[in-house]
Amino acid sequence: MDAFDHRCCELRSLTRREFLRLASGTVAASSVSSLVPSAFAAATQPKPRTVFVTFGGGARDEETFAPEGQQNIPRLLSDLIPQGTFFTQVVNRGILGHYVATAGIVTGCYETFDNFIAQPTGNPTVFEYFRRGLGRPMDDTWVIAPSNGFQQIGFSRHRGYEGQGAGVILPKQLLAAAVSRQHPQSLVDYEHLLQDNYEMPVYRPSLSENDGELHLEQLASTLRLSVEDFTRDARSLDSADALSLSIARRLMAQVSPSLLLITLHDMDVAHAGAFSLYIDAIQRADRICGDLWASIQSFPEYKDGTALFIMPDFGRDADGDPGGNGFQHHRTGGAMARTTWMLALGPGIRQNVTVDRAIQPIDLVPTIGKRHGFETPYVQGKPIPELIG
Amino acid sequence: MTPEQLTAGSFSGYPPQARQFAADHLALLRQLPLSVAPAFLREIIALDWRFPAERRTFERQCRRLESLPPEQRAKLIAPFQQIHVPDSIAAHDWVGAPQPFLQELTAYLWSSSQIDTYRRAAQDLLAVPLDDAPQKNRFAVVVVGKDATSPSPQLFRKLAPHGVTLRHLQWTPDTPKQLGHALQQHASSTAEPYSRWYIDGGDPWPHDDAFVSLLSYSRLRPVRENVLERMNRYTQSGPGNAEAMRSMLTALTPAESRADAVLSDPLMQHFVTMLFVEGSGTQIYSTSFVQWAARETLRRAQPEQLLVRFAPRQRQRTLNQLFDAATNVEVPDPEGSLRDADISAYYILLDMLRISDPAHITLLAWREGHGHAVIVSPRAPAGKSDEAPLDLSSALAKYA
Repeated sequence: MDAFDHRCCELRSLTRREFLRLASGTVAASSVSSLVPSAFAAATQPKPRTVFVTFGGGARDEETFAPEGQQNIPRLLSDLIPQGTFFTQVVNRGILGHYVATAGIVTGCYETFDNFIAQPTGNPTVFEYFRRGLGRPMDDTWVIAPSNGFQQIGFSRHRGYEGQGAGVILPKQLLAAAVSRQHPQSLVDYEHLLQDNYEMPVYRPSLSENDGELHLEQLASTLRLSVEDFTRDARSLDSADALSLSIARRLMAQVSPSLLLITLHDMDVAHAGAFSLYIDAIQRADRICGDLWASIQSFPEYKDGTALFIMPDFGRDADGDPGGNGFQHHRTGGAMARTTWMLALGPGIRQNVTVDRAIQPIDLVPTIGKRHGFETPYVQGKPIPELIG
Repeated sequence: MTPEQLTAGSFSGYPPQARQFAADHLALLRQLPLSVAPAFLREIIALDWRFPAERRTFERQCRRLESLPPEQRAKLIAPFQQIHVPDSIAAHDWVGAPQPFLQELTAYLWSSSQIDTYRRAAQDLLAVPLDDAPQKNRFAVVVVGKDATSPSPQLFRKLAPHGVTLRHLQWTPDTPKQLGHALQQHASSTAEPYSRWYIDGGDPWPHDDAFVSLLSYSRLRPVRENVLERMNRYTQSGPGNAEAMRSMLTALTPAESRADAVLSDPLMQHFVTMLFVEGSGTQIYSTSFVQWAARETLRRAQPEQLLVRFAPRQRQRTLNQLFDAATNVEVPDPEGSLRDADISAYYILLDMLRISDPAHITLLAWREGHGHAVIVSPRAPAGKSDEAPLDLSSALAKYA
């Protein structure tokens, strides 16, 4: 990006900080040395854990942190941000496609493969660094992703890390397999259930018989849920993201992974052009983030020892950009599409603080590495000083 | 092949007007680097199906470049010369079929972090001032909220700062007819074809077919269902990706999309086909169709009069509703559609501002069946509110 775009990103960041100050009274990081003592410095510490949440489908300031958007994110504003450090300027310099951008987040490198083809990353993932560095078993790190395109995000192609990746749970595919097993003649609308890619509304991968068996095996062995119980619970939910939260809770209760990635995807319905559905999804993501943090605090294994990072993978196009169509897409590569935010909360992370310095989404992996104490030798990003004490 | 090797014969497979245009501007095309020449050819190859206004715009862009001093033109072209096109992409038939070339080039530009540079260079290359000819006055009416019953105090929040908010504009059973008359009164006697449009998200109001070009979501149902079916068939046919599907769709002819079965005008057949194959969500949600159709109509046909009416789109089925076959029907969502239409009305204003000076724009956005409206025009005090009861003609006389 040139100087102009940098300036645009900075202006967006400053504006977002002012919105936050008005809304929740946060304090700039430069003005305080420490608001709360580092929990990491305490003598007795639970095993450190990390949960990171990405929004696959960014949300713009107008619909979130700007005054007119704040009504859509009450939990983030009033509940979570006061408990954490908020980074106002996260600039994504990579490809603005959801799978490839999420791959960049989990590898700490900007990946460059075709966004629409499910494939392993070229660089090692944070799950592989974590397992190799700390000698952890596969059950200690998981990915929950709504899109079948994410099925290979747990393992890289990198030769030095064979067999060190994370298990991936695809909630919609799991549900489809469960219902299919329970009611082979079911009238469930699979076409819509498996809708996978809001950018191309009917594009969705097929579910093979073998895939179905693998999903059912995951249901029984990992989540320890019967097909009947799982489908009954799913019937009470209203969206794929709600199903992801439900599975995350089950996973935390049954397996207690130390490193967990959840990608939320509902808000990417914006690609279908219906603004109200996009707003509904933002409001749902806000509730889910609040409920997830409450869940983390309710499990003894997680309470007080878990860091939560929440970050959209990127933004969406500006209304005034003639190359785009407003909120609908993220095709222009403009400042608003590239700039987003991150909220971090948990032990060792200062509360009620904003940071305006620009960071990148690829900085998250080296930061998690530093916090947990494992090496991340192939990352392009840099550890975020405000989060590593 | 490189652009400097182009000859008039290179375009022998183009439709007649496109072939002539390419021959007329051959000298310019030969000067363009390979990274940008196919983008010009993509415009040229479709020229026979373009509306008069967009043909003129493209012609002006080319003539401007041709009229520049050589050093100034070279400066605009220079950023494209810095982009090395990989051999695998250059090997495409970029003259006969520019779209697949551009699709691969776009992916390459993203992956090589050159997309931002390319985008800025393209904006500079194609920037032209508004038409030198006297500006046309443009009048648009946007009607939102059909069948919505809930109060919506924040309606037109984005439009309100640009115009006057009317709280008691009287909607009567005659209003649809009066809106038609109001648009006709604003029409100039010398208006060219495709300068008056009516876009409706459902069944259209009574209107004069001779006066307007009509796009009705209901009447276009065969086209959208056909495109949707092709998309479904493609995804079920085996490996492929979204970009390949997009290529398949953009190559659809009006006969293949069935647009020729519902429209007689070849230009309209091509336009409607593109609305459904290029517009994301237009095949599913009527509000997305109406917004995209209005945007493309303003960008391409540049109408002088435009009536846009939103109707309820189908409700998005929630996860739990997918379990119930009884919900596998299209249920309308009037309240959600009102919110969709609200931001779309603002986008229509932005689209108008891209083709006209603000001094020549009038936009009336109005909630159907209610008194809440906003008028944006040179005479409407921006950010003000008018609480007085007004009928349509009085409001237009006062503010439009």
